[in-house]
Amino acid sequence: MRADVLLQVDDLTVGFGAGPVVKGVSFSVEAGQCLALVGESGSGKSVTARALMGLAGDTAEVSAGAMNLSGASLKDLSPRQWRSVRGQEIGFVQQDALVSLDPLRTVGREIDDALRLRTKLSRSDRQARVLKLLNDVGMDDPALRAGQRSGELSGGLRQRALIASAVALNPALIIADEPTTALDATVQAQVLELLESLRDAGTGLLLISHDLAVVSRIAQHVAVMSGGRIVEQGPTAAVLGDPQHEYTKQLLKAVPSGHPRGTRLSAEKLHVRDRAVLPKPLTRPDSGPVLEANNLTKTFPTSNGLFTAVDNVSFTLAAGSTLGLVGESGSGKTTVARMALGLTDPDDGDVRLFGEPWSGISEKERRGRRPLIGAVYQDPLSSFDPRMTVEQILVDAVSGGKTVRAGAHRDDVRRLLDMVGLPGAVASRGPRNLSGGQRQRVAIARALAPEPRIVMCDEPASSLDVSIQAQVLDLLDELQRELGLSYLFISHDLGVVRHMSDHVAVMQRGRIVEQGGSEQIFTAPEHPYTQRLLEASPRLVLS
Amino acid sequence: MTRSSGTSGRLAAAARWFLSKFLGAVFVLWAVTTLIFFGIRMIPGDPAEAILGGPGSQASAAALAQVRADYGLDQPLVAQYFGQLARLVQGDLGNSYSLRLPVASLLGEQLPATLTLAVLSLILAWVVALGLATWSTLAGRGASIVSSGLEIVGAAVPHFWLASVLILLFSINLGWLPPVNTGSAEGLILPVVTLALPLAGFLGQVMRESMLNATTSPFALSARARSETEGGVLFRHSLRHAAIPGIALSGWAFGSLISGAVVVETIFARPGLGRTLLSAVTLRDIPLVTGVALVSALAYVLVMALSDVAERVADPRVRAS
Amino acid sequence: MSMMSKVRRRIPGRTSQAHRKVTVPEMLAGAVVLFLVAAVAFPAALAPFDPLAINPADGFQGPSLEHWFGTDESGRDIYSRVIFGARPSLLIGAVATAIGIGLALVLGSLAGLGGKALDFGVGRLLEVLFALPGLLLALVFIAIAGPGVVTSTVAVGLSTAPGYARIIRGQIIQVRGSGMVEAAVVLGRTRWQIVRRHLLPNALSPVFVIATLGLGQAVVWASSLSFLGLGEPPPAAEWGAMLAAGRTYLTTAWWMTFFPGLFIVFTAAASTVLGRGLQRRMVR
Repeated sequence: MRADVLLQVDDLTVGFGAGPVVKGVSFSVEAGQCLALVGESGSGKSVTARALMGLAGDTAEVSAGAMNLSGASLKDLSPRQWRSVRGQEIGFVQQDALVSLDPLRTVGREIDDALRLRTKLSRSDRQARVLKLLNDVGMDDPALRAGQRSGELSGGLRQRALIASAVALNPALIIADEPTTALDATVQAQVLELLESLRDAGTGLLLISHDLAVVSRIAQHVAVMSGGRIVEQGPTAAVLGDPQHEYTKQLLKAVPSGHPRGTRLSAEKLHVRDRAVLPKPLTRPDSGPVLEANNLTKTFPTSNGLFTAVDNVSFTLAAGSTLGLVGESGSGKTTVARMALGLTDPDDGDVRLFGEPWSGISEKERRGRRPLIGAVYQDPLSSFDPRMTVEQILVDAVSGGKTVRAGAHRDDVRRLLDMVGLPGAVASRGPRNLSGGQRQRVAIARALAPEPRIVMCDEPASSLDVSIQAQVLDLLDELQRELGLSYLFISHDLGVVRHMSDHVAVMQRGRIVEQGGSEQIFTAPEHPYTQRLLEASPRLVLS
Repeated sequence: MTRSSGTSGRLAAAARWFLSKFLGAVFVLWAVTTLIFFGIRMIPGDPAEAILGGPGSQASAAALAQVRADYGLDQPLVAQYFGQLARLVQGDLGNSYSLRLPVASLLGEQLPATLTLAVLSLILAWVVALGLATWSTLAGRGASIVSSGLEIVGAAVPHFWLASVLILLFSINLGWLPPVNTGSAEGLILPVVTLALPLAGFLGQVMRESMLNATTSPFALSARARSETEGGVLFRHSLRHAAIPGIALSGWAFGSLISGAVVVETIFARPGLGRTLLSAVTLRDIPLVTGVALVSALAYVLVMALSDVAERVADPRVRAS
Repeated sequence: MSMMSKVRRRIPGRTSQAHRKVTVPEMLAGAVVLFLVAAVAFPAALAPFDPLAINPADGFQGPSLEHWFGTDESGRDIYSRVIFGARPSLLIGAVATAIGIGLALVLGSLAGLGGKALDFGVGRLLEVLFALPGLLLALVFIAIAGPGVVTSTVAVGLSTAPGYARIIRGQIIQVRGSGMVEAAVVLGRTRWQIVRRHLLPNALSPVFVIATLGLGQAVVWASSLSFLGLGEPPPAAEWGAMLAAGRTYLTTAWWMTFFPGLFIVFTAAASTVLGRGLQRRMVR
């Protein structure tokens, strides 16, 4: 054991009655270094992190060969001893400070708590410390921010406040559990920078993440977790640059950024043509633009006057191609998607579907042409009727909403499930009893049931684990090839958009700031915002 | 992310809020008056006869004519309606049929007793509910069985039955407390407990749930990771989260107390709006019924507005939206 | 604790099974319901005496082996009267609940489906009804319509309606704004198809739960009105009427109000426990 080893964990096992969730993991963190625990949901990485602070819960059974922090053992501590470790020796940062800071208390009081509990500072000294901490984590106006609550701060600011509360007592080790998940790319970059600077100042950092790009940027060492075990660990460059374990290879392959359009991300063999009876050949030869948006503008009334969600947006979706629409949250992507789907009419400008008006007409006129355009959403579960089984959902989509006798369209259902790579047994289950990936496949099958020519994909893989995301993206790619579909593909994830799109439009505050061929946008961006976005976007960098 | 747009903006918003509450209250009072006025006219029967004690009273034609003139019943319906509205605006609620006294002064005498009863019950219910929620969050299984038992009591036990059991136990068997109103503070204990217990069960359930949510939430985990004790998590975080739905429900709770006061005041022979309403209903004394309905509707609207304000003060998330 | 719940959630099927397990209170509630059903169907088989037979010599007897719940002022057996009272009492509760939910369905659907103007109108009406909370609305209605078993039943239905209407309206609006309705529009469904296939079935599925929970409340409120002397008059063998008769003798013959009241408590508790159980199973 080297002298600067801060945290040493040997053979840590955590169980909750029904078999262990963490199975004998060993790792160490050095001062001024970052170890990343990487894995997908259910891999046991979060439980590991909580066990290190004695917060795995009353029902947890924790055992370890050794668990040492700065030379002192963390095994069999009393509650009081644990409390002297928490905050003081180990700082803890969770994801999404909106709920990880008490929404009813001011940020200042939350940070002050640690000082009040573990120091003998006077009230005014603590107050000064709080302001200094807020300043140190890069808050613009500490005095103002200290009096605000998490709900009044932007995502980036509240994450900084959460970090400030974790480092208030200068802990030697920080455990950060998905600290940047759900943040926009530019904000994520800023928060990572903050963590980096803490690490460089000598704090040990244990980073829990599912995102290999984030890990590659900040961690010196990586431990890959799967099914409660560490399957591979070592220096970041070695593990990510030359993975030995099959699971690590699969995980790396699944990351879309860096994989050019058309390459497969998942290991799964998927050949639509081999298994499925394809739908009828195209009844309408797609040539030229299938969907055009001309000068779309949409405003919404708010308490402070009109808010322009979409401002003079124009684009064209060419037949058989994918147009990627990329932007951070609040950029107006979803409003554009709703106008493209004919769910909202623009205040100004028009949408044309196959050259004919699609906006500014009645729903009745639209209905006949609705089968031409389908949609896949980020959260498929909420788009399903919870009372229906998968079979009923698909039958409803095939039959055009007419009431049909039981058992009708059984062949269609089988064909659709086959097409999206789902076994026929799924048909009788409710969407709630499916995994996230299966649900999204059902959503794709439903979108394809009316044999559309265009599919609008709104963040279709954003809430899925990387390997599942890879499968869903591969499926969409394959279906496009086989069926000649056109995609309007909306995402905040530049890697995903780059992998999926032929053309890309970058949105910022309701405007398209830049659009063009995918390669051109990603290799030679012209607009400063695009450049900033690309700069901030986490990439797998292996130095 | 919402920033206050200056003091003038906040003032304007407050004025708008006040105006909308005021107009809402006026509307509710008008609607209650109108519904009762036309409702009573849709029922067959002679109002004048009702005033003299119903069809059984065999009132003379002269007496009936006199009553019709006295109460303006000989005028056209529309004139009667607008006459009543006009008097109402001036604060005149008319005269009680049965007691031959101005309704307004009758209600003025009865209102304080009911308000005392309702406010004390609300306070006791809050204390018991918060205590239960805290206890079951801290002490685990045994405590949560007791509190969920009381929740079912809150939903299932009628006031009259609870009152009877309490009287049996504390007045007749133990002789500790008077079974009926004596005018002393002792006499308030059983009525207040009768009203408060079921309400406490209900509030306790809501508070317990949100307290449990708070103690298992990510922010509580953050607090523990900052070396906060379980007691600290409870008192500095969870308690406020538990109180918020309680505050939001207090307007409704007050209404249910006023409704419960009818039964409780009757059993314990206490003066108050509830008992007045019951005797007015039994005697079909419409002006008195209208008066009680208006006063309790007004009280309800006021309390709702108060609980609205309290919720805004307690919960910054409501303020922001 | 948070960790524990998080881990549990990851094991598919486990949470739902835990929620489907029948609890001890639910079993007790089931037993109460079975007993009540038996009392409604075959009162004579359960009751040892004629509920209306007068025997003044036996008046005001406390509970004994012969008269389990004692006797009333005319010497009638309270236990037998309680058993025979189940049928009319539960009928009143059921009819009142049906009236309340029926009204609420109309108001809630109008508000939820009928557009902005109707929603506003129904909203104001509900506000007015809410301003006379609980029994007050029922009492005002009785003041207008006169006392009696029919008006008090209607009055209870009327005063429960606003609460139900608000739940139903909220449910419809929630489903209306959900992803499933948007998905159906994108699939080209007509408004009517969406209302029929998605909106109504999803919005109205909690009505069954509401009705189960509401039955207990209706029985409690109807009996409160009877207790106040505004419902079925004595000497009918109905729980409310028995309460009204017993009220005069509260301090001398407590069993006259205690036992009929106890059955009201059992009924309401059973309906609450079962309703909550249904609710919990539907959420998952």
